[in-house]
Amino acid sequence: MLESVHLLGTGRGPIGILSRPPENVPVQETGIVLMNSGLLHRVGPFGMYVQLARELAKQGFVTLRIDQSGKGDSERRDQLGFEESMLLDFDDAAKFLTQEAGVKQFVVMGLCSGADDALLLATRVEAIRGAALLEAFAFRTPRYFLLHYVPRLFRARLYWIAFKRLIRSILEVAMRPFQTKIGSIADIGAIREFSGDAAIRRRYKAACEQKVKLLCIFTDGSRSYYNYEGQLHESLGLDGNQSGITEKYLPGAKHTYPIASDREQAIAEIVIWLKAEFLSPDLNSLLDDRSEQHPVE
Amino acid sequence: MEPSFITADDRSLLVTYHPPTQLFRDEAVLICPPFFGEYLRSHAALRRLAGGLADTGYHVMRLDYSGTGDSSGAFGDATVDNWATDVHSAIAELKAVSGVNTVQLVGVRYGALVAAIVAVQDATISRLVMWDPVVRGDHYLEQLEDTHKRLLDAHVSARPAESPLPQSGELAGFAVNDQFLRMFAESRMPSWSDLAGSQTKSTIVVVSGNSALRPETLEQISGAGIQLHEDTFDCDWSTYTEAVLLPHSIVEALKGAL
Repeated sequence: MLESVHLLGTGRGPIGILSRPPENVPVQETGIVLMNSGLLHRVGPFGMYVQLARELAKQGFVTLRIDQSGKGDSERRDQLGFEESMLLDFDDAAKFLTQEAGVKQFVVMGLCSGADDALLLATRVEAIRGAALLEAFAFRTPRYFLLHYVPRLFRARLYWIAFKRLIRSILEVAMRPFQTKIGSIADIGAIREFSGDAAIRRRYKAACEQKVKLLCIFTDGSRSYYNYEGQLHESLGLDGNQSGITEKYLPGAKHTYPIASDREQAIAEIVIWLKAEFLSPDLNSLLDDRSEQHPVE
Repeated sequence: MEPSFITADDRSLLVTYHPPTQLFRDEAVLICPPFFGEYLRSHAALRRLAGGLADTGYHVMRLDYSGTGDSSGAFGDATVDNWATDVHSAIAELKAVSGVNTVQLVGVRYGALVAAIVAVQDATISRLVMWDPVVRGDHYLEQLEDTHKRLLDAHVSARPAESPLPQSGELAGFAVNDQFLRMFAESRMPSWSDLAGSQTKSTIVVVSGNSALRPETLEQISGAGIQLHEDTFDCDWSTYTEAVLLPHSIVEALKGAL
């Protein structure tokens, strides 16, 4: 296996695992950086990032899965805000990939808060030419509300569920003063912060203006704000053919892809998109020649 | 903290060494994490444990078994013998980097089963501390199958007809095969009396609230004269989500047991 572990930057972190292409596969000019998903470390939910990185490496893309400062095994950068710290983390990752593999441009990827971070980075760092966003933020449209609420009007059981949730919420608030906190279980979304509709819209718009390619994959886990393919384009007022955004909807999958076959489908979509947008033409033909002689497994 | 890849047979394992930050002790601790979704859920807690132990002078190492985490191999191709060999390799590496010859093992859930197998094989293991240990692979599989069923149920309502849920080949979020499941079901922890009578000087078990340990197991532990510490924190090991565990009291109990 062609993987190695590194302490980036000055050698005190962040930590990154580098996946390199096999020897018989030409190295692409685009390097990939995977951003943490919520509180999970660089392995990703159900090992998804490991699987993704290894598949991308097989396709010729050097891939670095990192623990951003203060997450996973990486030390926090003291006295720095989250955004500043993240920019420095990416800078360390980019310098490392350039030095190690000679990559000239980057694609960042992430799930949940990792998607948020990837989108922000894509609008701030010129060398980032693409971002794959799993469960990024999107905006509700009139069609979203129709698809969401109309079926529910005819399902009596949902009224009972909503009533039980309301009672449970009231009881939780009432009992809070009496609970002893000896630890906690933090949900993957615990640290996801919503910057506000306007800020997110600006980021998508900036990515389009800067001609950064985006792949946005949504699942049923986003059903509180997304429920049909094309919704993101519609909400942003974009033409699908010219936006530079590829939008995919996997309605059967959940937020963290706990079903292995769903993970494989999402990874396959990422690979298809990456090869369509970022495969170097010269290396592509070389890869085809070599694939015919020595099929890549 | 010093992460690196080491070799166990033909497998590449990620280990992370935490050198002591002060009060250097002549003792080392290897942390054997759990498997399946429990690995990811407990990662932050075990990192905190490792850092806390290093701050009190221990040489500490964490490992990813083959087929898990950042280590090589497919999970469904691994065996408990492979994992025991992985632990032996990590122990050898820990001794080499630290210069210490006596090692304590901390095993979590099924990682405790693997650690216990190693503890009765290796005379240099001075103590075995277990957090909510899995004693029998078949009982653990029952819990995982229940978790898997609830996971599938959660997908049913939104699943399009053209994308049916898998009927086999997966368990609680991970790809497995029949051979793996047979191996897993047959795995057993050494008996409590074997552990108590082994060269390992002491064995301590920490159980969380609503623990998966059966009442008869708790009786066997006490009957073997093994120290038992009970905590009220509910780890909810049977969840199919990857909700991160931050059980401060249990981490402190594990530190206190070493």
